[in-house]
Amino acid sequence: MSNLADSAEAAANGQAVILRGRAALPPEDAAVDDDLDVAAVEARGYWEGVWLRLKRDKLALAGGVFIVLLFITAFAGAPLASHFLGHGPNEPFLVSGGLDADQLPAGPWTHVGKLTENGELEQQLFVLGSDSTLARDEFLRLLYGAQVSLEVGVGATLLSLLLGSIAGAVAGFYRGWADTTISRLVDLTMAFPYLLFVITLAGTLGTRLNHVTFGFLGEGVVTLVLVFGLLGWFYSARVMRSVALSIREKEFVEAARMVGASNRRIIRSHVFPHLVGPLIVLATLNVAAFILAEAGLSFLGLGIQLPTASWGNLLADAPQYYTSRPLLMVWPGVALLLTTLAFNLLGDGLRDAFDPRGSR
Amino acid sequence: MLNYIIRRLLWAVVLFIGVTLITYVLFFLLPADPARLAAGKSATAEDVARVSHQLGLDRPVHEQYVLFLKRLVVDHSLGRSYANRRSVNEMVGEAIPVTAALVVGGAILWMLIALPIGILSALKPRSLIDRGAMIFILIGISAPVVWIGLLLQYFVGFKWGLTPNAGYCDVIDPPVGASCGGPADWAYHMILPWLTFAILFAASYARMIRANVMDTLGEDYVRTARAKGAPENVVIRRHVLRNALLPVVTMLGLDIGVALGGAIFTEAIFNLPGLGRLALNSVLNLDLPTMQGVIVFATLTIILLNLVVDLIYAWIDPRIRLA
Amino acid sequence: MKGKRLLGIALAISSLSLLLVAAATAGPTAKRGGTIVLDMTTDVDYIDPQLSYYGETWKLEATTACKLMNWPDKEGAAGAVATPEVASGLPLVSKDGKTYTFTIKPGFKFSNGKAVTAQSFVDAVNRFANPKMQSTGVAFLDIIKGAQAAVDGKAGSVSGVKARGNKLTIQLTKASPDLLARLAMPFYQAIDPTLARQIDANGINQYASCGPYYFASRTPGRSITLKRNPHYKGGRTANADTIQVNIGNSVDVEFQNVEKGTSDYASGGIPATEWKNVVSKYGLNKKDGRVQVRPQLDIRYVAMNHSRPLFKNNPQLAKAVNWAVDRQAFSAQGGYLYGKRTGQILPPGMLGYKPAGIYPLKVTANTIKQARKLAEGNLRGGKAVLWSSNAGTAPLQAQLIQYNLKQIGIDAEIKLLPRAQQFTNAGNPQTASFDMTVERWGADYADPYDFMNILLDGKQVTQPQHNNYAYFNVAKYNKEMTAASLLTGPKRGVAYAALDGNMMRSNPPWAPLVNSNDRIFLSSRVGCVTINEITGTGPLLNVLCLK
Repeated sequence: MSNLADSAEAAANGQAVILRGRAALPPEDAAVDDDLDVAAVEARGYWEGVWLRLKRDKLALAGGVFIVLLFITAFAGAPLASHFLGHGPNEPFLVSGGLDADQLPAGPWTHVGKLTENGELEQQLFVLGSDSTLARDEFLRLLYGAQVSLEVGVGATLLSLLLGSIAGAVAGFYRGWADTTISRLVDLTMAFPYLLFVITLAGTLGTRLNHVTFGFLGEGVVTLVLVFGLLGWFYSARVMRSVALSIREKEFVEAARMVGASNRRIIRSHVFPHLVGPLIVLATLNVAAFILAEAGLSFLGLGIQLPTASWGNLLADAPQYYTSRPLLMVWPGVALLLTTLAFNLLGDGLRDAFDPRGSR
Repeated sequence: MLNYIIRRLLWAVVLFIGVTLITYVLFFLLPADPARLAAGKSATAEDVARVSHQLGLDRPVHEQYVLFLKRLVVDHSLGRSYANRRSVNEMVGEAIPVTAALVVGGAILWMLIALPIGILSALKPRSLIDRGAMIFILIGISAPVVWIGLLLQYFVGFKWGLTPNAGYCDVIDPPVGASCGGPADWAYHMILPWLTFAILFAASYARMIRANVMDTLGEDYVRTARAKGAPENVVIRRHVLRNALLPVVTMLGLDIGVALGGAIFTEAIFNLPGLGRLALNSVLNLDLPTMQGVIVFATLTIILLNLVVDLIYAWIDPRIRLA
Repeated sequence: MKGKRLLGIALAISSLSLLLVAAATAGPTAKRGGTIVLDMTTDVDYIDPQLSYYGETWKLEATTACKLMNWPDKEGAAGAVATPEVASGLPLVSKDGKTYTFTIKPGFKFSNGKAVTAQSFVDAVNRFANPKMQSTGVAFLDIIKGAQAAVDGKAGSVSGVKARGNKLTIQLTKASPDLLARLAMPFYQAIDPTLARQIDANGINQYASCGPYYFASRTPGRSITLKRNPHYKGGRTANADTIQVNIGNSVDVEFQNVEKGTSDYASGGIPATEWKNVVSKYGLNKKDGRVQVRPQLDIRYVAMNHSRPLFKNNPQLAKAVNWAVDRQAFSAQGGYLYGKRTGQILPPGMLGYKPAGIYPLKVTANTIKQARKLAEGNLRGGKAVLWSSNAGTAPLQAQLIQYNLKQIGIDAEIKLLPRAQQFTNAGNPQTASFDMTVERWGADYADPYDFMNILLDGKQVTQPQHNNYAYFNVAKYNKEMTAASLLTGPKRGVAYAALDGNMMRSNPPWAPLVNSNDRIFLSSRVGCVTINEITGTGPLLNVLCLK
């Protein structure tokens, strides 16, 4: 959970304090103070500026490229690889080759035999060897595990941002009772022992929701998206509220109001564009946090349902092969590390790009 | 100030009622039949009805909740486990010292790591130290806790044999015959858990400290102090660090509350019988009173820490209580 | 491995004892004192003598209990004969075989200093039969006069068991071939008068006992400590001062601990793939060696829940499952020397074992076709809930079964539980929300009654706590099982063999998978390794010593 808190809070702008207990907060609009001049810039120039700054940040770009490749690999590469290799990620290959002479999971680049309908053995390739003594394809499971990670990460981020930014923008822009209600609700949610709650909800809700896949998601993904999303919205609500608060006081908003623009129009044309930057930053960092949380829960056996592969449950099986197949420990760990690193680098880069004066 | 304290206290009470209400409703409405679980393995239909009546489960939900609050506030009781009939207070009581040891020890460790890294890298931006610090921060924030734990356990604990692999020792009053106990054993067994638990926080605190120190360095009063010719180390100590670290200390108070739950991964890997493990076991067993007990306890802790931090802050910074 | 995992490897075992080594009893190097440390992956069910029915607990109770009859602390055949312990000799048996009279040997004392008397055993039977205790083992009372009335709550005590001075009489409803073996079960151990008054279905965690050790403390989910009974004068060995059980480590940590010597016995097992390594590193079955493997009267199986819609009156599907499960692959998950594949209810070495060759022990394209053919039209929606333990290789084995089921059109959702919760919840009709559960059973003593009647007699399935995880209740088989249990001699074996074959052929309650070995991995610190499979799996803990 700490992961969630940390990255999300980093999203605010490096001053984690903003997302914390009320009294600990400096004035709540601190988050966007630095942004104000940018706000005056015309939209096109604004995006160009962001892009120019981002382009100079090689690490962030590398993170971005990695993420794009990861999406392609996970959603196009995994089914393709499965098609060309001739088997799925959940198929055990115990008949021939999946285990070596010592009954250990086969090492990388092993040819295994698949029993066909007419009883013949067909040779197929295990790129990274077997995942366990169940002799499933570690390579495919890693790829499909990426799918699950991204589904949970992106799904939970979208849900929490959607809830959070609506609540935050409404609170910040309209003030009054809406603000009071929403702020109190945020405080309430923040008083929950987040991870404990996630665990208990995943365990209880899970029994009802785990089969819901909408035909394409992994089993257990919906549960995690709901649990993370419903409990994670308040970070984005806080950020959005403070952004909205500061924007509503800006001259250009007042000017628009003076020429008779409606609230709706003001929000759409003047406020929303300025919410996009912080939103994107928050989203990027949140994905990383949710991916880590998914892996943690699956490691504990509460997240993704067996036999669906997830980096968390691959990691949970690996210690049994510590001494004989240490690489099984390495693959899912490194995959997780690189993925969260990529999202964090991109998120940091985006934050600096959106907020040039805050960057250092 | 008194006015402020009363407001904060009232708010803490409201928060507590809100959180327990939501917890109560969610957990008691989710599974089909708590009375059946509560009645135990032998229950006949009449038993279930009787237990249902005893627990007040046949009453409307709002009455049940009041009953629950009353039991909590008046009797200080979290109820009994459905799984083994033990008092939840007792089980939570056994788990608290373990989690507290992990979290408090971990917090000390992460501050010991984060302070020097954060301060040094802020004072010497773009130096070798700063770059090294940035790498540590990035990896620390990105690396999965369970993975770090497993790697430490295998290499440090097993391969190199420097520490125990897992397990917990009581610092005082170990159970009869326990194979270990006392402060030395306790600390020895906690080294790896502390490290595992602290890395993530150390990284994010190092980042926060670095940012705060850099911000403060740019403040007018620091420039003024320098202009007045104050020696650099005095400027840093008196003006920069004091102001930059105040919010960090505040955060620490809040994070310790939040971390109660975050300890669960470390507890699972190193087999520490703390609150997280208790929660996990109760989830596997659908043991609602225990689940709820752990959550209510953790919530209470978070709210109290919040309150304390708020009050301290208000005491230090009058602007807040006047706002 | 629930249940009784006691391995009753009686005389019959010698036929399989290829792996058995010469008995190794405490040699002259035996050293008294010190603490022996055990690692268990999950908590035990209870430590209460009348409730606990779990091999892991019975390993401990073998050192804490004193019984009328007990298994000697010896290996092999010498340890397989129920021998008088607190009884001064074999009982006097009446001519009709229905009344047994025991004389109590003086000198046995509980750890609180009180003497063990004939009444201590009467108390045990009454507490065992008390309906408020909800004991899983009450089926073992069935031949004792008045026990049923007590279990049903119609009588306050068991009328057939009485103490007079140092004499104990037990009256039976029918002549019993296996009473003496039953009396060696921990359920029947002498209990202290204080414990006799403590009636609690959730079990007592601290009590005085009369064996060489007693339970000094238990912290559920965390640890159990056994200390030497200071008043014990019974003559059994008690080498270590303390036996400490640490609970909750994963099998890989257990392995690391025992390898390093911070723990002495990986009671919860080690990673499956390590067995080959440790055998080549330390040798197999050497005297006082670190790796010991013994055959045992045990079975691992998938119980199909006949009280839920999927398998209720659906024998075709149960047969399909038997054709579909890949026993070879299941066994491979367990690693080196895991055991022997089987398609029978009774294990090899047990009276009545007769291989019938009904189901394939190896999967081929044809067996899958056959499985699909049987399943077709009998899937009833094809959804199932599959329970499994959450430790060691169990999750992998569950996924294998899940995959095999998928091949015949059953979509199984896996639920992983701590072991003791798995079988306790499975044996309770209120909580048994599974269609299939991967179970393990070890015989308490070498008799088919302890397998067939205890696991499959339908009379139990409405009881609050039982061992018939298949909820298998077929009147015809219930009757045949009861009839078989009254037979003696070769007829008994023939009757049980016929039951095994008939059930598996026409109405399988389970998919039997593997008869597994007891594999033991010890630290380099310990010696005096003696293994009596009847008293529970593993090395005798009271004999085990620090070198």
